[in-house]
Order: sequence, then structure tokens, then C-alpha cells
Amino acid sequence: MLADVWSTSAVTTDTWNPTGKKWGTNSQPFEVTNQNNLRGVAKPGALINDRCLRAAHEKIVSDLAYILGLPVPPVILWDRGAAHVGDRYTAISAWAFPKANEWQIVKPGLKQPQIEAAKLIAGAMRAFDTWIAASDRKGSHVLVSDDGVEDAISVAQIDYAFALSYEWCGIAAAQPDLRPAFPDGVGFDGAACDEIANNIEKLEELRIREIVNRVPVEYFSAIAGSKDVVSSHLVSRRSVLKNWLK
Amino acid sequence: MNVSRLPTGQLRIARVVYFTNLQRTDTLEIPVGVIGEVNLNSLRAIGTAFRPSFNADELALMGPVMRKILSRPSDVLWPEFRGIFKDCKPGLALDLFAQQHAASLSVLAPSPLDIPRQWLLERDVDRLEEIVRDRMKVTLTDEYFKFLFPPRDDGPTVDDPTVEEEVRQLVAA
Repeated sequence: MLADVWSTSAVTTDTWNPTGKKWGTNSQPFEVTNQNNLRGVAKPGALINDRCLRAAHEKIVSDLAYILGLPVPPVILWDRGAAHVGDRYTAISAWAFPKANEWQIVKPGLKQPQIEAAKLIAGAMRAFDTWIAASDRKGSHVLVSDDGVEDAISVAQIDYAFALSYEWCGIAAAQPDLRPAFPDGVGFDGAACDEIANNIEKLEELRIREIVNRVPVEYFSAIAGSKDVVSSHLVSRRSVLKNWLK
Repeated sequence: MNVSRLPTGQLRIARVVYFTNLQRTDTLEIPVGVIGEVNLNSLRAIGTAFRPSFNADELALMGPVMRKILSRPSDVLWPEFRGIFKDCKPGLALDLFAQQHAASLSVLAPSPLDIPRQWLLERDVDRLEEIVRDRMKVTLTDEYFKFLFPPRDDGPTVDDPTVEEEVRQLVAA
């Protein structure tokens, strides 16, 4: 699986080419394709001078989610080279499903088994999003596979540019520690939340630091010391996470 | 030094596409239509030109949820865009609509078009409303056909473009 490969390496060795398609959302993402016709979404698509470490955040969050078994699509870093005009340090996100719609489109038509399944995901992600200080969760950042299945639901949570150092380094004001549960509007499963909080608490410090440290230092260059801030916050927040989730 | 202030404005058009397989680029991408937004000092407007329908082969390549929506795009997407337009600050409707559709159904990044000089200079708001509506329909239709060119098997038809304006009180220059 792509996630198995991308979660164990930081920077892509594939050849990626922009196709010319762009989206108009915050980080100005653009479509890229590799030699195997894999479609990726690369971001940021321009030099955005807000010091947000978008690419590093996307990569670290995706890798952390992977080891916890949470539904965040795989991400790989792409250095566009010194000659590139714009932000050369980008991240490429893979699409989790061949066909997907945003949560707010799907929600009204969900069947009861899908709502129950969504509660489990919301519970798990509530713990995860609180741990990583996810600042920008909303329905349009929750994708649901459009596969015709009605007794289960496949969900992917995307767009974690605004997390980790975004608040921890003061780029944005700190929000309350407890983050809302997404997908929203269905409630959340408390046991699923507890389970992920336990798993986060048990994550080895070495593993966390390895995931952060393998991101090249250039991806943190907009904020001095931010790499250490990300590592230390992730490590220290493990033990207080359950208090915030109460 | 004499400095004259020319009124400014913004006209942006974005393409709407359905990706039949988000994971691969060697798969079909189905054009759905174009949407636009105008923001002038005294008037704001949005417009859409969607395909009226899709052929059976195209519908078969869509997921069931989006197939239902795109069986008649204007019936679902126009009211949604209009609702956003009614509630948002001037000039943001297209961006907010695009934020809601960035997966299989994607609103791509908008392109700015030149504002017709007449739009900037017309002082009669009733007349302005009329010329913006008429010109927007032409622009949307033109952009729609550029997007769909070459013509498709089922013929290059378009729903009658829908445009809505909202006049704001003229600000004294």
C-alpha cells in the first residue's frame, strides 16, 4: 500500500510534474502526477509569508496518524529544487479514495450503520486532533468515499496544515485544548476516544522524535527552533491529553 | 498633481470538474460547467453555466451520491451557490463555494477576467444591473464552451445561464 511506503520515508524520490490544475483554497494546492500516473495534491502552491510550516505539518500529522491507524491520507515531502520560484518545500497528499465527497454533502443521506461508524471515527479523531492541536477542522476537510456502500463508511481527514507549531509557535492564537469531534453532527464514541488517547499515551518518545526529525530542517526554516517545539510538545502532551478529553 | 480615481472591480470565473478517479491522472475528467462572481462598488453578482445533464457513460463513472447531484447540476449547485452569495461578504462567494467542493467534484482555482469598462463607469444602477446580467450570460456561455471544447458526443448544449445581482447603494465618489 502507498501509505506503508510513504509513512516510512520523508522525501519523495519519484518524479512529479504539475498538471496545471489548481484549487483556490487557502494553501493554493495544485495537482501533480508522477511517472505511474498517480495523482497527488501538492501544497503550498505559492510562497505564503505567514510562516506556517504547512508541508512539515501535513507530513508529520499523516505519519503520526498512520502509526495510530487513523484515517489521514499518506503524505510525502517534495523538494522542488533551488531553481523553483515560489515555495520549494512542499508536501504531496495522496487521495484516499477513487471517488470522494465532502462530509456536508454526504451527511444528510447517511444510513444508521454509517452514522454509528462515523461516531467511532469522530471519537478517535477527537483525541488525535486534541493531541496535535488541529486548528482547522471542518466538514469540508472530512472526505467520505462515494462507493455505494450503505452499511459502513470510509472516511479520510485531510488538510492538517494548521496544526502543531501553528499554535505552539504563536502563528495563531492558542485555541482551547480540547478540539471538536469530526466528522461533526453525529456525536462521538467515548470508548474510541479513550482507546486512541491510551494509544497516544503509550507512543514511544523515540518514535515521535523520529517522525519529526526525519523531516529535513529546511521545512522548519521559517520559525527558528520549531522542530524542537513540535517534538517536545508532542511528547509532553501525551500525558495530559486524557485530562483535556474529560 | 491631479489624480483621478477609476472605480475598480473584480470578475472571476472558475471551472467545475468531476474527477472519475481521484487517485489516477490517466482517467476521465468530466467537465461540469463554469461559475463566476462579479464584485463592483455598487453591485455584486454571481452566475453559473452548468451542463444540463450527462450521458449514461458519464453517469456510470460517477459515485452514487454525486451521480444523484449531477443528474441535474443546476437544481442543486445553483441554490447552494446562491445561498452562499446571500450570506457572505462581497467577493467571497466563489471562494466559499470552492471550499465546499474540492474532491471528486472540484471547483478549480478561479481566473480573473478583464472588467468591462462600462461596468465601472455606469452610474445608473438599474442600467448597470441589466448590462452586468447580459454580459455575464455571454461571458459564462463563452467560458463554458471554451471549457467543453471540442464538442462532446451529446452535443454542446448549456442550461440557460443563471445570474443573480444585488445592488448596493452607490458610494459618492
